[in-house]
Amino acid sequence: MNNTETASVNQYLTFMLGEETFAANVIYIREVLGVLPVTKVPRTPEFILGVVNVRGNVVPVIDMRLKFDMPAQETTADSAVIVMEIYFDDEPVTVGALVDAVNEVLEIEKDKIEEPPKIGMRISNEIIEGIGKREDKFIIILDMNRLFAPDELAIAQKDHRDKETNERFS
Amino acid sequence: MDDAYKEKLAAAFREECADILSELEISLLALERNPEDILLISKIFRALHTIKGSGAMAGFNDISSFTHSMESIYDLVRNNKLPVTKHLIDITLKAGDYIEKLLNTPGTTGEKEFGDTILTEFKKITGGIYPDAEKKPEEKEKVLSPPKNSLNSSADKEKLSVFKVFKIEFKPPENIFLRGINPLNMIDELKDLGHIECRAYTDKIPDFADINPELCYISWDITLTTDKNLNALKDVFIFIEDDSELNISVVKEKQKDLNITADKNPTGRLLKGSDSSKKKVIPKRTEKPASIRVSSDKLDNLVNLVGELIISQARLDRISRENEIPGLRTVSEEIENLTAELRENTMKLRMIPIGDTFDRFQRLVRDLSNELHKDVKLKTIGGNTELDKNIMEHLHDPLVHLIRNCMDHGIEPPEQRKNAGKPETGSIILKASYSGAYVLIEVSDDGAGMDLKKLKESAVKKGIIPEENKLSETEIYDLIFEPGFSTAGRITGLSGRGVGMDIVKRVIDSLDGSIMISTEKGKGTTITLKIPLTLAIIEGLLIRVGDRYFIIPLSAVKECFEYTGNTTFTEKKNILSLRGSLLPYISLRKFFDIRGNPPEFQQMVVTQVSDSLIGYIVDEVEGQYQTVIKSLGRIYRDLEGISGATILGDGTVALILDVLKLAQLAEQPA
Repeated sequence: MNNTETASVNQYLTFMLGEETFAANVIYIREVLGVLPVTKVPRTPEFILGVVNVRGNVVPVIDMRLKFDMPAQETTADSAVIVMEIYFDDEPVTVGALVDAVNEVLEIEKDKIEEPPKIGMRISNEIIEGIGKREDKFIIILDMNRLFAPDELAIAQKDHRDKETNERFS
Repeated sequence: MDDAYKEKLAAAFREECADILSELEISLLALERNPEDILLISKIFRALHTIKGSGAMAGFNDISSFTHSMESIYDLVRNNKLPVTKHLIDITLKAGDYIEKLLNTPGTTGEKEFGDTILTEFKKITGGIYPDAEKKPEEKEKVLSPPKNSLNSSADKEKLSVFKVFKIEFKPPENIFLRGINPLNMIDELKDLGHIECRAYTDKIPDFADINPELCYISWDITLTTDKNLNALKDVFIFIEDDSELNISVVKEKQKDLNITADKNPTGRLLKGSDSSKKKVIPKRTEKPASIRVSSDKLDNLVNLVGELIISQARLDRISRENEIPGLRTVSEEIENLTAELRENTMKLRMIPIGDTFDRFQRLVRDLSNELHKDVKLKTIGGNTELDKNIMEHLHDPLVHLIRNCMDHGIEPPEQRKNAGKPETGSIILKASYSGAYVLIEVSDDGAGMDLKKLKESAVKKGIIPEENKLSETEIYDLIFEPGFSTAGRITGLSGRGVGMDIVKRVIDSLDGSIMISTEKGKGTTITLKIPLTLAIIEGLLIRVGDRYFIIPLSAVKECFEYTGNTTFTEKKNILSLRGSLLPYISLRKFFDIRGNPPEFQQMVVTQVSDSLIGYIVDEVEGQYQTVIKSLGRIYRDLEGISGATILGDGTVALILDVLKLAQLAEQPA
């Protein structure tokens, strides 16, 4: 993803996970859908829920709660799948992200965004683009391209596989 | 002409020209083997002529003029004035490359030098003949007329020194007097050559009042009987032939009409050029079955639409089953049959014979032979085998790697082959054949084969496997697909860097294909690629485990039967005995970790993949299902056991089992 493009748009879609407000730059966002029937793909990391059918295309969906090590939770009427186009391994892929609720599209000026604090964050700093502030509330802005960092995914799969290897053929 | 139209013309020409160039290359390589084949020479000439003509029309003047020079050369070849040599083929192949460059990057001047060197080479070959070539395009209708040979060869002259009757139509340029030439002197000169009968046409002379005494209005028809050859005749007119309308033909001769137009008027030539190009095109069309050119985007779009239709049809089928509406069921079934047929026909549209891809490698082998100083012949078998166009596109690079490997590592240098008692000319065979829903492509050479020990040593040295590793034969051969693996002692421009085979494997994997190696030391190596016929839509068997649906490619399914799980089978771990042979099987419920209890009666689906049978225990076999294959995307690229997904009638996603991979996993010790 090129940076000039990112810099030129300062609109963000905010969404909720538990009590915390997150945001993603609108340039990633394709659409927001309700909860769809998910087909679990075996032997993949837990946080990847599976695949859904988005108008004839098979799109993987990740559970943002599990991704951020929050406890899993039943989906509610507010739950939504944010369909995004992100870069994975330098190629665009379409993915969905399951969140507790979608709020609104906000404009956050660049100078209102601060560097993430080095410590005290539950989420790895790598995926955080910055911390926006609005009406005394903090909004964690995510770098969606880092959501599926290839190395991260590979490691997760390997762990998962190793764990399963012994049980598979019994 | 507006720009859009021009661009359209240019695009059409680019496509046409690319086709012709590849045909040209094939013809050239064939000509090298059969230098006497007049049909091939004519074909090459026609190809060049078409490029020249269409090029000029589409505004590719650089290509047109360049091809014109080539055409002149091949006219000489066609008229037996120039022998077909390896050198000539070499340069022509290079010239073809040059045209391709001009085609793809019009207006680049950097390549000009390359083009000029080719032209210089051409000139060198033709020697003195070449300058004459300027007027060759006008002669192209004539086939091998011996009198023309006498133009340049004195040896021929003697042979032909019999009396001939020439008919000469001569109309000098109007301004001939201004140049100090008297046309009557020319007729006198002709008189010296033999007996002439002369008729003057005076009908062009205007009324007296309008006459410009400085202009010549008269033309002549001259019949000349002479033992001199055409060249001598032409010498008479040498100073004015560029401007005159001059037509010389042989009247009384056993040989065919000779009709040389020395008309140098550019307009006249252009007309003739386009005229004859029309004539050339018609026979070419009739050679091939009638076909139209459709852009592949449109085809892909059609396939996608058929895919959507199949998914909709599946929904309709589901609704008709759930609701007992009179007549709906029948209609739904009719539509099902129609979509199946539509699908089959649509997929056929995308199938292209593999021969075209094979033929492209003749050139590669030829070039590499020269480069490596190894004499290698490429033989292709089964060029009619058809494959999905989209798959074919992916196959080119892997095949290049494989052939390069054969040339570089496989085939030994000539001396070594001689010492080993093999023919000095190595051979590589490219063979394609059908095998169920797959196409097998074999690349085999009669080279040195692979050395198991050397392979293993090299792998240990490179740290790919630990030293004490005990590998089976197949596993050792598989090592060559590891990144960074190469046994070539030296690094050449071609191979030895250890890249290539891993790329081959990756591409073939991505096509859901597989690779098999068989090799014998000293005898040669055969690498077999197994490629699915198509990747877009397949027949599948829909099965269910718990609340999950999976598709097993129907081409792999051998049989289904009820699996009771009791002791009628001699069950031992995950192998059961089926009609006297052992059948390894996978319980999908366990394998995919699906919760819930299996039903009392489960089903066993037996699949066959490359000779090995594998069973799958499932809850239910739902039936045949037209499966539109959707990719799971890059996120899942490392996923094992699942090759893709499809969308079911209710809009949910079902996963397609990768039976090949699952078979490999099942064969591993539990």
